[in-house]
Amino acid sequence: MAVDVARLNVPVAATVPNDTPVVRVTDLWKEFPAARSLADLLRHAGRRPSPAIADVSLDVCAGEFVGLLGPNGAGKTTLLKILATLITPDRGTVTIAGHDVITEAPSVRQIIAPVLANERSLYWRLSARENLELFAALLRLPLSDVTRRVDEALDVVGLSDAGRKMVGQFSAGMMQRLLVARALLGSPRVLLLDEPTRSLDPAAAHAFRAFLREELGTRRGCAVLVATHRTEEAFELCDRVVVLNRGRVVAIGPARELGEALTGVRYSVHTLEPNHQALEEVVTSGKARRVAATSEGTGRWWRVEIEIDGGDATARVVLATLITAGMPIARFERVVSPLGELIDRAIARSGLP
Amino acid sequence: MSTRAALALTQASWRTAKSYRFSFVLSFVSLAVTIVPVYFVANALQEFMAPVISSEGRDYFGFVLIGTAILALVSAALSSFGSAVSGGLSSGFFEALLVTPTPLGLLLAGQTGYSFAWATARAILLVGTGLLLGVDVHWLRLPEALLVTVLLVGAYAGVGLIAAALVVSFRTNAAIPQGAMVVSTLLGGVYFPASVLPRAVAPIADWLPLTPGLRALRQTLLLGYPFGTIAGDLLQLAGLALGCAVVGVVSLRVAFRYARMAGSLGQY
Repeated sequence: MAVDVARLNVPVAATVPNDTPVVRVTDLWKEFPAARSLADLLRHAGRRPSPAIADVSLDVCAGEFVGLLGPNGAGKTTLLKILATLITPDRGTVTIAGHDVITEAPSVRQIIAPVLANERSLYWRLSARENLELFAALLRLPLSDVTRRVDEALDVVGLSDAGRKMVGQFSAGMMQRLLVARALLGSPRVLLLDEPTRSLDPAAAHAFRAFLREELGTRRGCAVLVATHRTEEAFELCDRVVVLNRGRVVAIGPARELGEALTGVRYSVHTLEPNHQALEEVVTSGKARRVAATSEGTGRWWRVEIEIDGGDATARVVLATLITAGMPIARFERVVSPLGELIDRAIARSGLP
Repeated sequence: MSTRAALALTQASWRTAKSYRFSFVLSFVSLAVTIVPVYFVANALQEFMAPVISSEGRDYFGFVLIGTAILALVSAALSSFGSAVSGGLSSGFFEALLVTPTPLGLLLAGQTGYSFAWATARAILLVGTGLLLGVDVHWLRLPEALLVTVLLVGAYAGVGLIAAALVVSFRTNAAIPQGAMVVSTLLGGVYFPASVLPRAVAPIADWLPLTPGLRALRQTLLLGYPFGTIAGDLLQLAGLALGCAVVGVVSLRVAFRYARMAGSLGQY
């Protein structure tokens, strides 16, 4: 049932997005009422709520994947729900392919496909095919097209053989793919994905990201916004990432560049001597910063993570210094900084609490 | 406005219910069986009740049968909207529906269509069983009876929409469907005519849609009264139905607007 990555034959994160903005968010602001009951009203009288979204501006082009990162409560899901017409903003404008999400909500719903809800938003006692046929009617697809479109959607997510199986018998991964198939039924121009690989194991998640990239980005040219907590999702899938904190954009840019700018370029050194004199000297001289050292398996080999400013050229010099000094190194490789660290540093740099 | 989406949602609910085959069949059988004891109890009370119900029917079993059948529809009208919204919000399914281009009215119609169809089937089964047990019905008055039934369902659906609006806004229906059901069952003339109620509660009965509705329904179906005779009750019922429906629709619109502002549509 897994997506066949070999068949897709594309490197992950390979497409070049079109530069026409499909999603345009300008000076968006949203506050939620602090009081949700009479008791709240009395308890919090006069208190002004902190904004869920504050002055957010963002463009997303056709074929582009944009990741929304940030701690819980940063405003990622609120932003996706405003785009999905489920939440009305207080001020600012949001247009999808030129349609305003407030005044032209029905037109917007024709061209967006949010995958926000969980697996319980499927009919578990119906087959995958019956679920898709239902949504084909809700999406007002012509009757004559329904069978073909349902077949295509099932085929695209690798569920053709399971089309007649009851959804209640599906694995979490299959349900996730069925949700994406449902989103693809109406040939949307914008996809909104909230943690699309949250219930998948690492291998299935990687295959799923490759599939999303190929199908949504390369083949269909969709603009895709992805709210995620996963490092791999931000780095493998997204052309750009937007780091949100307390509703504000604190950093924006390609994930790798942002990571390097905020955390430096990180390398992993596999060695028998994590405290080798040469490594200490490199750190003391300021050429590198030691991040962490962890023992690997047998306890003899260590994995030491260091950050090196100046990119690969400086890294080559550091590596040469270590080897010349006789430090036993089995592997020296560039690694991706953990997403949490990137987010923490972006927030720290923004000066927001 | 296309009704295909609403029909598809109703069909999905039907398929789901049908997939639980045993309970599906059993619920029909139990309904048919429960009416049999009512038949014997009603016959035992016939002599005592005949003068009390004389303005609405001659046979007490027929009197109770009409009341019980309509109560099934009233119950569906009161509870199905709130249940559909509550279930949909808590599972996230409603969120998935609201981001489709299908208008809210059709979504609700589709989400509740099966409940109404099921209640109608139950009412038909009850009346059918009653006919087999000897209830005498004036079939020529069927159009008037259908009109009364539609107005009754409309009136209570309005109350059901108000309850759904409360669910959307505050995640509670404030026991409105249950309260309306209890008051209507006790005072609306289901098991005895409203004319025998104590003077203290009689004004409440006058404001219940069920009171004029059941009276008109029994007079047409059981006594064969023409349209002119039930016009007064019909007019009162139509006024209540219009009022409830308008308040219900407006409440629901306001509730959804509020929920979109408060961001509570997807909080499950």
